[in-house]
Amino acid sequence: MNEIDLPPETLDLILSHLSQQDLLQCTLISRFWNGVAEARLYSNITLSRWKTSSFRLLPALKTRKHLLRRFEVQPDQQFRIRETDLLDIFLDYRPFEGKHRNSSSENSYRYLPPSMNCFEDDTKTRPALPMTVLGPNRPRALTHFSIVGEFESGWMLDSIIFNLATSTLTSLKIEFYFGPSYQSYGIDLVKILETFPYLKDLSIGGYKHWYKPLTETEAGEPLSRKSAPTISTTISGTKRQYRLESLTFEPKTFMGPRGPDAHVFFERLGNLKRIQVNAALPYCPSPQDVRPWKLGRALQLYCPKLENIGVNGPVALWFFDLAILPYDKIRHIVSLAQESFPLNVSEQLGEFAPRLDAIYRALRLQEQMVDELLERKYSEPYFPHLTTLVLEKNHCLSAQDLISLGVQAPFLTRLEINQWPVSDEYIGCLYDTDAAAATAAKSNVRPLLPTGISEVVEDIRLRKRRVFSQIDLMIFLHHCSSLRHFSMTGPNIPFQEIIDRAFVPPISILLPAFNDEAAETGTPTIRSWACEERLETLKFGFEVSACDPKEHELVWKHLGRFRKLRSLHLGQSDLFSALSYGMEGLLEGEMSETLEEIRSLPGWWKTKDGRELVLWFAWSFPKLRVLGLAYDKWHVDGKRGKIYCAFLQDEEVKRCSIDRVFIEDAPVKDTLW
Amino acid sequence: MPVILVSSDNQDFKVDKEVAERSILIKNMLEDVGESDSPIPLPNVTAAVLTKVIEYCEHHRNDPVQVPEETDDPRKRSNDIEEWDMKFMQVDQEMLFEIILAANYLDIKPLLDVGCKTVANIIKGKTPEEIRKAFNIVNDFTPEEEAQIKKENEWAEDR
Repeated sequence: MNEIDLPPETLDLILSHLSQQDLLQCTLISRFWNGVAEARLYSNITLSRWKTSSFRLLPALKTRKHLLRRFEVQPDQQFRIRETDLLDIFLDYRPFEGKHRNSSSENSYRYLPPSMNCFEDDTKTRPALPMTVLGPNRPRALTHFSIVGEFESGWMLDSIIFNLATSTLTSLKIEFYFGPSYQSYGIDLVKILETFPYLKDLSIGGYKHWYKPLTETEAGEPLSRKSAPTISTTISGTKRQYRLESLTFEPKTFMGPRGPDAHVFFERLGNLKRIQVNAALPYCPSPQDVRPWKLGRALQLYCPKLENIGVNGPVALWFFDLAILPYDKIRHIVSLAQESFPLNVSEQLGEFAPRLDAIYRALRLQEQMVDELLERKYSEPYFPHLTTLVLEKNHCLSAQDLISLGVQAPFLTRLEINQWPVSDEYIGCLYDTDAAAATAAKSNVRPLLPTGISEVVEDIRLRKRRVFSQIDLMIFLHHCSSLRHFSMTGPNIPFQEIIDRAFVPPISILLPAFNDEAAETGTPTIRSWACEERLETLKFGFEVSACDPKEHELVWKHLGRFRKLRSLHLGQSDLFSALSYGMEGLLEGEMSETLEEIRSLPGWWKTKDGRELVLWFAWSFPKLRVLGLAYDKWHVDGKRGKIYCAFLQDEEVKRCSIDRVFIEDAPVKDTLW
Repeated sequence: MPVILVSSDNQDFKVDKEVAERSILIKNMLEDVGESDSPIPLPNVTAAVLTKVIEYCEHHRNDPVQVPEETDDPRKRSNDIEEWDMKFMQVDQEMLFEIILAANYLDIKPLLDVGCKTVANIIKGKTPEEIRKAFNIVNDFTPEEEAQIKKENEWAEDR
């Protein structure tokens, strides 16, 4: 082979297909191969206690640090990395040899104990690191830098980060979890963004950090709700935007009188496409202190390009303006609030009548509000490019926003929702009432209404948000047609909520005793979801009655309507998977051509012969490769488990077209809801 | 519509425009030159190699244009070489590298990919000495240098 002809990029392309062991062999072939192979070997380094290679890597890294492109270190109790090692690697700096560590000579490097006051600016105690000692071998092509774990001296990290030879960093991740209890790390967000103009991805986390104040000049006057938009929007047009596209952070510090102002920070983040907000509930002070509306408003004003929003914790984000209610609408709502039950019903209810009356009216009012949301088409969504929304535990999405997203978000393709947001009280405080609505609806339309109802009317009038319920979730699903991936964790949705309303008069929700009258209005069907044509992944929990096979049949039929489903996860559903319970309803549509994965299949033991169940799936769904059966203590553990799960060892089951057939792990208590 | 390609040893090859345009380099040249019929010289490619390259392009003339993929973990895809491509690549190693160089020069990404994967498959699991033998590479390290490199890179043996 004529090596001289082969350009290094081409050899690199060849080596890109090799494993680390093979690359290692290539480093010994010849000088040319060594150069290209080592560049590849050292370009992507992770140091952590999970990698046994980490301890042996350090000496080698010292001579090859210029090759580093992506670097990640996870220091903790089991894997301590000395700060001097990091200084050596990134700054090519070694402490002056021969002098005692605490010598007072100016040329020696002093390791001073960290400042005892974690909130004080520690520049005074930090020794100045003379630039002249930084060596020539610093990594110049570093693009990714990540440090997650325990780190002793924050200021040393600062020295490293702000003295890197290259400003081509595109990804930076800092998460401090442990460390001396008196110490935490002060992060200067603006300095980071200024130092690394090409930064695309910034992630700050852990609970040992705080943010340094953003500006001194603008922090003087606390921005009021009304004045903030007008001041900033005129100036922001001229402000140079940072290139940052993805930000992960905790908003705990955009709050309190001392903290920086969200508006000032987000003004320059107009290019943001992805944001992940982690707001741990235990660490979140009371809603009054949090000023979360500031974050929500700031995002709305300055980050219209957002495509992907992830929220973990109570953060106020909203997606649409709720229109001001005109006067006659308010009158209509008030009159609805004054209707009561038909007379014959009240008589039968007897002493319960007044209380049930109130509940009934509140329900009617909420239905009215939902109808109004559904017909409204004119307001612009705040985030017109939104494709992905992930809401984890304790999120604060309101019912109004959820329904509006269903009706109006044109690109929403992925929604992952934890069904239990924080309590109504918390949400009520978290969102400001629409100031404009309050001023517009000046006329006082509060005739004497029973308590409970008057609050509901007032909330509607002032456009106050409320927590979403399962009803709202179903309304969303009935209207959102763009969804491709939908995942819901939380309590199962009862059968009553998913059937077509036409068959269930509102009264029977409240009074199951009246069901016999309402029962003969026809066979109920499940209302179809708008995303049936496009949905590819579904995770959902259905609750059906164990005594009524009809309900199971209907749910299976409903699942069969999804034409492009590739992955189906049934969570903690109560369904029975058996042909006697209508499971062949799955085959009604075209899903048999696309389904690749089924997880947490419930009630599989209802089919007496497990082997038969698996083979039926293998035969009906030729593309199915993974079949996970739901964990059920009774049927899986102990001696009974041996009997029920015996079919998993059957030869035919092992040989069928499904690659993996298994029982899911027991759910961790945490994830139940 | 035929296009004429001329190899470095002055041999003419007549191919369809569609086939020739699998090479991005040729495609761009044709766009610049326009409707002219003049032959396209390829001074870096010999006739033998050009024959093989044209054979590949003919077979793959109807393939959809490749979308740029994520280059983060191409290791996963080393095994998925088509059967025809595998047979096509069963040549001596000198021709193998010539094909790779030609694909690089002519900018035919799928052919370059297949060539690189083929070479990677040869390298997999071999010791340095075996790889040197397979490709006629000269070892220009001193024994001390070799020992040092081996020691410093020891960490890579773990995974």
